[in-house]
Amino acid sequence: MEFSIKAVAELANLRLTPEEEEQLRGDFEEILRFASALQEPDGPAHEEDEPPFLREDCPAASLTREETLQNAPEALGGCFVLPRAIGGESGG
Amino acid sequence: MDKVCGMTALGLSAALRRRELSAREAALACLARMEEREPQLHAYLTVSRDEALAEADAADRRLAAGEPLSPLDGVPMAVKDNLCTKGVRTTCASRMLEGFVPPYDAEAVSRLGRAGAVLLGKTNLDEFAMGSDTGTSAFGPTANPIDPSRVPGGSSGGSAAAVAAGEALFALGSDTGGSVRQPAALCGVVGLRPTYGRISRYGLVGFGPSLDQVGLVTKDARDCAAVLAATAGFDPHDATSSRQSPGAYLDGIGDGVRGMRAALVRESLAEAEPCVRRELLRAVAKLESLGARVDELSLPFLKDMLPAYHILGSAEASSNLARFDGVRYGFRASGVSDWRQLIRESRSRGFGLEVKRRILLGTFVLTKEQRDAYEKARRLRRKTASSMAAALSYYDFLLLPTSPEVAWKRGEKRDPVAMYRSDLFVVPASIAGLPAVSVPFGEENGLPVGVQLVGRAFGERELLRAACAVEEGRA
Amino acid sequence: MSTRYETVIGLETHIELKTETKAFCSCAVEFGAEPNTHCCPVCTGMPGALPVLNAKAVEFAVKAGLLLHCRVSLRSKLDRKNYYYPDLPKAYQISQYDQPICTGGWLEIPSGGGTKRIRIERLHLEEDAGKLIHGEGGTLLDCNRCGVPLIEIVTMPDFRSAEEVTAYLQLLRERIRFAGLSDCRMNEGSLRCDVNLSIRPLGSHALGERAELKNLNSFQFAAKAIAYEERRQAAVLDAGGALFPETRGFDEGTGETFPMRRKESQSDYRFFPEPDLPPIVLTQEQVARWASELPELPDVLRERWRATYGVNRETAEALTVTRAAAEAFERAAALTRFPKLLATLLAADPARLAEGEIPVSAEHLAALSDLLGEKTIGSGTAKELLALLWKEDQDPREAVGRLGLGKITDRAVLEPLTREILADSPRAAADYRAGKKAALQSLLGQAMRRTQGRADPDVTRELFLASLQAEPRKEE
Repeated sequence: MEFSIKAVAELANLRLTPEEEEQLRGDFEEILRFASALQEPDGPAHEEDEPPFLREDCPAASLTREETLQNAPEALGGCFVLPRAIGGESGG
Repeated sequence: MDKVCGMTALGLSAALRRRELSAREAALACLARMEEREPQLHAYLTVSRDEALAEADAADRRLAAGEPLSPLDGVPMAVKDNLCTKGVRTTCASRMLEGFVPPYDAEAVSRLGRAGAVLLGKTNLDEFAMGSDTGTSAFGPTANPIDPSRVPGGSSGGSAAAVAAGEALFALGSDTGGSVRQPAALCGVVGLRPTYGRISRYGLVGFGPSLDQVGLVTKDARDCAAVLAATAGFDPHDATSSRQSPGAYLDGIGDGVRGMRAALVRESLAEAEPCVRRELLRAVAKLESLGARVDELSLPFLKDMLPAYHILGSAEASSNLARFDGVRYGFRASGVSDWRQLIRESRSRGFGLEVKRRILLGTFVLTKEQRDAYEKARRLRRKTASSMAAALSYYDFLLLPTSPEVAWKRGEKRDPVAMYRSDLFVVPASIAGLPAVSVPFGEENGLPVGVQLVGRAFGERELLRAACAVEEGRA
Repeated sequence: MSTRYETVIGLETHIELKTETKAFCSCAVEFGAEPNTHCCPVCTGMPGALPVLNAKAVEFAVKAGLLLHCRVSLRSKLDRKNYYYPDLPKAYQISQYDQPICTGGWLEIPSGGGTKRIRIERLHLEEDAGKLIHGEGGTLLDCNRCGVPLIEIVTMPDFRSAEEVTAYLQLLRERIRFAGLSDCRMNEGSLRCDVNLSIRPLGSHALGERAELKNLNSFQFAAKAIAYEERRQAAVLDAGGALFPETRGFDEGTGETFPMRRKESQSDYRFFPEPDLPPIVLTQEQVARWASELPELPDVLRERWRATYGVNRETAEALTVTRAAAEAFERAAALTRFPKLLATLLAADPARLAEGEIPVSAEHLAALSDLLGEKTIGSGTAKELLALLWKEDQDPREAVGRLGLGKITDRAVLEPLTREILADSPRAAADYRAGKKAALQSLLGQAMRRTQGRADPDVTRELFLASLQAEPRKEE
């Protein structure tokens, strides 16, 4: 089975030691073995189509800024602070 | 102290109402029991003594005025440390959240607060609830109160140990793949995983949102019904919580099982240790003698549910735990110069090995290349859930062991097959979103055995009635 | 650009929906608020917090789809798009992957002398990210915008020029804004568009390697970026080079695009169904009701006003700035005998019209334009009165009486005035008599000034003429 543990670790934003990589290789192979052995039972799967709960568009109190920032490792001027972020992809 | 710590929640409630003792005395008794046993057990990560006594005093004032908020008013409880508590640190037993103080309460916690229950503290767990022996906690393992050389099960091992040791009268836990039922079985207490959506997940730091449920650890089925009544119900902050109204769980709980139909899952007998098999069969005989009909039923896909569970649970975990990046809260690695490094290092140093393993596994099965495994697991889940629901359209409940074995020794090398098997019987209810309860039934060399009843979706009332009958018939 | 190539463009437009609250929590949406003052556990991605979908966001997304002739999916779902960036608190964006809420629509734009249909591939609902403020020592994160509901509208590669892109964006913005679904302010980021552009040899039907142009903050910049990118790609191909898929930014200073990052083939968002949110299930009735709530399209209104009232295009455009303005005009126009005058009067202050609700009743607007049409008041007074009504709605007839704003037609009042003016301006009188007819205008102007514009011009003129002819003076 061909796969790159490094690429997976990259996606997950985790750094691995070579030993961890080796150990994980075994785990990955095992889960793929399991998956290929999975027996899919016959019969239809039911899909429920109940209308979901949606929220009314009414504003409620937000947290205070102090509460929002109370666990921040670093804060400045009412904002979270992190090392300079440039490049990569912005959301939205 | 011994008197209080040995009581059930409802027993204490009655005593509080009769003013035989005060809520403050009850809280103090549990705190004293902690002082005695915690050095050995380590069931708690945080004890909020002062807040607890203040809450107990408030409960006493209500009780003295004859205006208790609920049957749980003044009853001391413990909460698993992956349920957010406003102003009380919530760590998930991880370095990642070592100093995290939530600005809000989990819905289940605030409901119990409104019911007057007294929060004593936060209990230990496997890091981020990933594990089955409360051994992956970053702050050290919890011991089994019955034999401290043994594991309490997990991941809600702290909650189960606290209740079993009388350090709380009941506790909240969480159950993704058996995390409440299995430790309850290993510690000799009752553990309920309600139907998916029965209790709000808001504020539960779960890892697999489609599998996570807030669970209950209590001393008996009646307490379980009382705590469920206080916590169940729709929450507009959890879109997956059910709008179906909760049942009157205590009504008729002692009415017995006469006329009920149960199904013993045949595959479970072969997979369980002899002592567990023995107790399960004894439970069957007991149920029959109480007037229930017990058939055997084959669930051939039982074994496939475990890998499906691991694939789905890890996939969701990889996404759910991605938010821990050291930016807005939690552990932040020092000595980094750019944000990518900040995120990578904070995560690599903040998470323990088991958590990283599951995140990576989950990331792996969601990649384009391995997508098939994930999709297959999803299909299998839908279909097995339908099959179980179909079986339960005829049977009132399914009967299985909770754990295939009794509590094992901490550090004991276990064979990989046993490790693998340990979740085998608890995962099906999780996968299917069905309610399931573990009830202590019999023992092996002083170590408790649990039997598991899996009920119909939102059929907790009938399920707990059956659990109550099993419990009363266990002597 | 070389005439040997054809440009092929597809657009991805993000529009912030104008809901009161965010997509998945009850925090108020407010542009320009103090940082991190509209935040909660949900939108800052705190552990344990769960999203709950805003019903209004669903309604607005569907309405936007209906405006673009899309098919509305009665069952759609939300998915997680997983990637790390510091402005995305959960490290996944809640979006829609393979079951968007709307698919397959179109928008007809003016092109050449006629029209052209731009096909819409899909429209889906998602959430906005936070704002990063880059400074010397580091980057600051403000989460106020996190979780604001967005729709993403993806077109087919149907555009062939910057003009078509601009026409599409203008029409799209007008429709969305008119239906009250978004402010569509590009400068505030409530409308953002990414341009996917490739070129191919004329006559070819294969698509070339495309560049994705990001951060285009105005229609003008979009057009400039397209023009630059067309030239750049042509130059690369002409030089025998090869293009590759990439993301490019636009430098507003130089008018050039620049590479942001190579679109990596391994970027893998690992989409999967959002387990915290059940699927979105709609009924046919619900969709029909929403369709019935949509306003008439602004172009339809403008055409009708032209045909029935003779309102010109510019005036009509000012009146269709918002649905509220258009509806206020429609109602009042039906009540007045002078709808065209009303249109001109209202359109004179477009900024005020754009503000939102029209605080003057249709009856009062109609009465005001009747006063103007009947010449009881002049246009200057009409404008003043409208401003007054805007502050405090009242019957303009009463206001005219109470404030003495009506035109002065009474000769007994105007006659002494004209005499006075003639006495004060012997020069103008002499000029007139000497044949300089323009001098009369200056006399009239004085009369207007001295009565704050209320002197009836016809009567005043008549009185001046009578005096000038009846009482010739000797030159001194």
